Order: sequence, then C-alpha cells, then structure tokens
Amino acid sequence: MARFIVRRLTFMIFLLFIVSITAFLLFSVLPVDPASLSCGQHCTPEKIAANRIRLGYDQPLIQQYLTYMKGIFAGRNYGEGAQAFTCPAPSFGYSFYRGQCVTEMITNALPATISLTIGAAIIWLTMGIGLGVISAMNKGKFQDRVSTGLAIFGLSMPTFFIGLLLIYIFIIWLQIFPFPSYTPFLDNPFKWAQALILPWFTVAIVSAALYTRLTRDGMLETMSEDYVRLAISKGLPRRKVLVRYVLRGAITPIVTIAGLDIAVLLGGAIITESVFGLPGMGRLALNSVTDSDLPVIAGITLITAFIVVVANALVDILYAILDPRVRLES
Amino acid sequence: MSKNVLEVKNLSVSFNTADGEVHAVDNLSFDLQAGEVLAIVGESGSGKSVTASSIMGLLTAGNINLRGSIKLNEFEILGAKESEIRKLRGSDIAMVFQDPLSSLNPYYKVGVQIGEAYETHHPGASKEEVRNKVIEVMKKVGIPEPEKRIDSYPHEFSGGMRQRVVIAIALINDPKVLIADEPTTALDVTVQAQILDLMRDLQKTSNTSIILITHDLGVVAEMVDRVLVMYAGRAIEINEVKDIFTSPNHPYTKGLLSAVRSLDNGVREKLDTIPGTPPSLLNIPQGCAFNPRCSYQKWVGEKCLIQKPELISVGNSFSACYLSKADIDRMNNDDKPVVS
Repeated sequence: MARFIVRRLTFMIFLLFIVSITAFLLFSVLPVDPASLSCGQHCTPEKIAANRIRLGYDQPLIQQYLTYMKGIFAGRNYGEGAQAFTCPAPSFGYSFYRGQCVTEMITNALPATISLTIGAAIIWLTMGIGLGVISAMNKGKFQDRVSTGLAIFGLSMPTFFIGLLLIYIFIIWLQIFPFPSYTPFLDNPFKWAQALILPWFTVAIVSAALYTRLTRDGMLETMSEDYVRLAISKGLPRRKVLVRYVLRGAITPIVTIAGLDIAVLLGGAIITESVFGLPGMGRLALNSVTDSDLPVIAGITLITAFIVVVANALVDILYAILDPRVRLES
Repeated sequence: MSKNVLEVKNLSVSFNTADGEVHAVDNLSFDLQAGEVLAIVGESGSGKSVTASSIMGLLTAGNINLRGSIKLNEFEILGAKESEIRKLRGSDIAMVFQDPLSSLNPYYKVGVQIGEAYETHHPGASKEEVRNKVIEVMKKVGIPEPEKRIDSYPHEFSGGMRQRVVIAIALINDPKVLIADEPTTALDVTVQAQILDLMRDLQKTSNTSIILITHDLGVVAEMVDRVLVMYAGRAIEINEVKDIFTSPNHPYTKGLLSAVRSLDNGVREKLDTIPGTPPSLLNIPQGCAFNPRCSYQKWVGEKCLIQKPELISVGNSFSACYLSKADIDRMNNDDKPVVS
C-alpha cells in the first residue's frame, strides 16, 4: 500500500510539471501583451518597453518559465528601489491590472468556493444516492419513475436557470432569504449558511442527477450478482443485504466520479458564483478572462490543475482502500 | 420408511413477460427423504434452477406466479412471510451456487462472509464463538490453515477453495436440506472430483439431504440415490440411480444417456445426440412437450400430440410417457422404430 501511494504521488508531480509547461506555453503564444496592458492611460512605446523589462517579458521563454517556477517555491520580487515589492511563496505572479499578488487573490477567492463545493457535495451526494437507492429498490414502480424523472429534470435544466428560479421563488416571491451576500464562516456561520443555501442547491440539483443514475444502475447490476443471491440465501435481513452487499458494490464508481466532480468544482463554479455574486474562484476566473489578466488566469489554471491531479491521486488511493482486489494488483 | 424432509406438490412457476406468460415449472411433484441425495437433471431451461429458487423462497418479484405447495418439515414455504422464510434460509435449508468465483462478495474477508451466516441465525453469539465456529467449519470443508485463511479475501483463493468457502457458508448451521446448483460446473475436472468427494463425505457424516442440480450424468452416477429428470418445466421421470442407467423409462432419459461417451466399448463411435432443441417455454408443444424430438412416438401414435402424459408409477419408479412396459423394454434393447 505504501509503495502504491509513493508511486501515485511521483506520477502526480510529473503530471503537474507537464501541466505547468503546457499552460505557460499557451499563454506565451496569446496575442495579449501584458506589458502594454499594465502601462496605464498615458502610454508611450518607451513606457511599454520599460515595462516589458520590469516584468521580465524581455527574457527568453525558458528563463521566464524558470523564474515563474522559482516564484512558486521561493517567492518573487518585482520592481526596483522604492517601488520594489515581494509576492511571497508560493507566488503565482502579479496582477498589474489589479495591483495584487495572484496568490493573494486566489486565497481570497478560495474560501467561498470551498464553502460552496463542500455544502453542495454533501447535498447532491445525499440526494443523488438517496434517490438512486429508492429507484433501485422500487424498479419500474411509481417511486422509480418519480426519482428518475426528477433526476432528468435536474440534469436538463441549465445551471443559471435553476439559480435564477431559486432566487425568484425563495428570495423575491416567498422572501424566505434576503438576497445573499457572502459572509465568511468564521465571521458568522448563520449568515454564511444563509447566503450559501441557494447556491448549494443550485449546484446539487444539477449534479445529483448523474449520481441517481449511477446508484440506481449500479445497484440493479449488483443485485443480479451471485454473491447477493448467496447473501439472501444465507438468511441475511433485506436491509443488511442492501447496504453491505448491494450498495457496497455500487459505491466504488460513485466515489471515483464524486472525487473528480468535487475537484472540478473547487476550480470554480463560474455560472453559480456569477448568478449569486459569490466572490469565489469561478468569478475570479471570469473577471480575469474579461480583463485579459493573464497572470491570474495562469495562476487559476495551475491551481485548478493541482486540485484535479491531487483529487485524482486521492481517488485512486481511496479506490485501493475500498476494493481489496486493487490493493493486490498494486 | 424414512421421513420426508421436503415435499413439493403440484408446483407451477410462471413469469409474466412482455412476450407472454413463460411456464418455467409445470405441475412438479417430488419429495426428498432425510439423508437422501436427489439429482435434478435436465437441459438448460428445463426448470431446474427455478425449482431450486422456489424452494429457497427466492422468487419474490412481482411478475412471478407460484402455485402448489412446498413443505419443508411440514412448514409451507409458498405464501409464508418473508421474515419466516428468512429464518429457514441458511439454517434449515442452504444453497451452493454454480460459480464460486462470483458467489463471494469481493469486498469482505471470507471469515466475515462465513461468520455472517452463523451470526444471523444465532443473534446472541459472541465474536469468539463465531470465530471458533468459522474455523471449525473451514476445517470441516478442507481449507488448510483456517486460522490464517479466515482473514483472506476471496480473490486470494483458487476456484476450488472458493467453492469450499461457499460450502462452508452453507454448512455452518447444519442444514437439513442442501441445494447444490451445478456446484462443480465452473471448476477444473480434478477439482470437481475433490468437491464431489467432499460433499459426499459431509453428507454421510451429517445426514443432510442434498438436492443436486446438474446436467453431468457422471456426477449423478457417483453420488446420487434418486434422479428426477425434467423437460420443459415438467418432471418426466423419477427413478433410482441404479435403474436409470440400465433401464430408463422415458425416451428423453434414454436420449440423455446415449449422449454420454462410454469408455467401456473402446470403439470410436459417433456420439448420439437428441435431434432438435428444447422447446421455447413461451411455446411448449401440445401434448407431450418432447414429442417433436421423440424417436419412439410412432409406437404410441396420435396420443402424444394431443394429451400431456401425467407422471405415473412404473414399477417402483415414475415416468410421464405413454410407452407400454413392453415398448420400454424394446427401447432399452436399442430397438428403434423404422424411419419412413
């Protein structure tokens, strides 16, 4: 098991390295010139040239990459003399558009996104797996049709539509909640939850559908397994067969997909965050793209890639814990 | 006269499907005596496994119609409450399935899976007691080093060893009836012999009655007392094993026996087959279900095409065929009607 984890982590580092190079190369060929973007209102060619040197864009590409990577581990200094400032490690560069270190912008945006993701994941997993179990246990009956119908409804609604629908119903029409304004959890947990509950359900309704299907189909497939028949013929109670045998057999693929879904969501739920005005990674990414704020986009790309790769490794390790057969093969 | 542990009377099982009602088992009656080994033989789709599942009370889906009676020690299984049948399953009546590779849950250690069968029927048992019981039964079915193997996962066992685990699960509560559904089909020939030996030994020492579902007549000859032959959901012959190989009553049984290669005569002869295929259960022929494939129908005539033959006693055996005793003897002397 230890060897399996070490090998998995080594591969993960290699993967991140490739992602960083790809991202860096992609941004270097974009027709956007950060030197002229950060030049200000009264721009002259001389100012742009000076800017280019100040930002290091005059250096060869390989040098730029090395400086960037060094910044991640050791921090990075910008400017000279009185204007000098430092973005401490891990530094993903500096946004001249906003006048802020990228890392700082990302750390400011992460809590909202993490709050959104975790809450939504809990709701969609409960909802998705719950409906899937109900469906599978009542295959072909009324309950199955209703859960499958709900799942398809959720899947086919665009995120922004569900978001706006929830805002209309709960904020404007029923007036149960005030219009959400994000409050950090530590400041006021109640307000935090109040602001997030509609975004949670927005993400959950869209995501749950897939899990309902996965759970339902996985359970139905497992139910026809010989080992489930043997469990029944042992005389085990129905509930025990259902949980220890049927659900246990269906849960492994669900864990895999949940891990990746959560990782992707941590990179920012652009639509949901925009609809509800949440100051998270998604909105940061959207704003940066609109502003052509390259360093921020690059930073978000790398962080998102990092999260996805780590989640992938975690899923693999979890998979090995869940399935004894995988452990042996490793 | 020994006591019957299991009595099946007029059992009919049918499934409602989109294509119509499928009659998997039709008016089946037989009994099983204490300590007896009964084989149920027949081609795929003849209703063997459905019969086994009905006895285990496993057929509970809404599209299944069950009629008749299945009595286990005077207890009526058909129509009994699920909670009552559950008490019988795994304790009074246990089952061994065909494929040991898929019969065990890959996620749990074998000790847990064997122990579960004991715990369910002995709710107060301590962990220590369960563990000892598991080791004892693992020893009994011939799994080496049970103290160590109890913590292994199924995939760490060979096919034969896995089938021993499945048998251990079946035997841990000393069942009165053990249903083995083709227990050796998925195993290597050498392992098959070991598993059969094991089952025969266990049967002798524990006086458990066994229903052995198989299409392997070699297995039948080796360890069975009586044979029930099924065709298209009906019993067509019930006979003592010593008689069935020498003087079968039914042309179908005769056909099955001819399809087995004999090593005795040493001649490289062509293997006999029964012409045609088993009928679709959606469309069972009128009269005797076997009539389109029967070589001896000529001796009886029209009757076979019109009316279903009932299972009637022929000497001390039973047969569902209109052939007279004289014709049966002729059949067994390899006399065949002339093909015109």
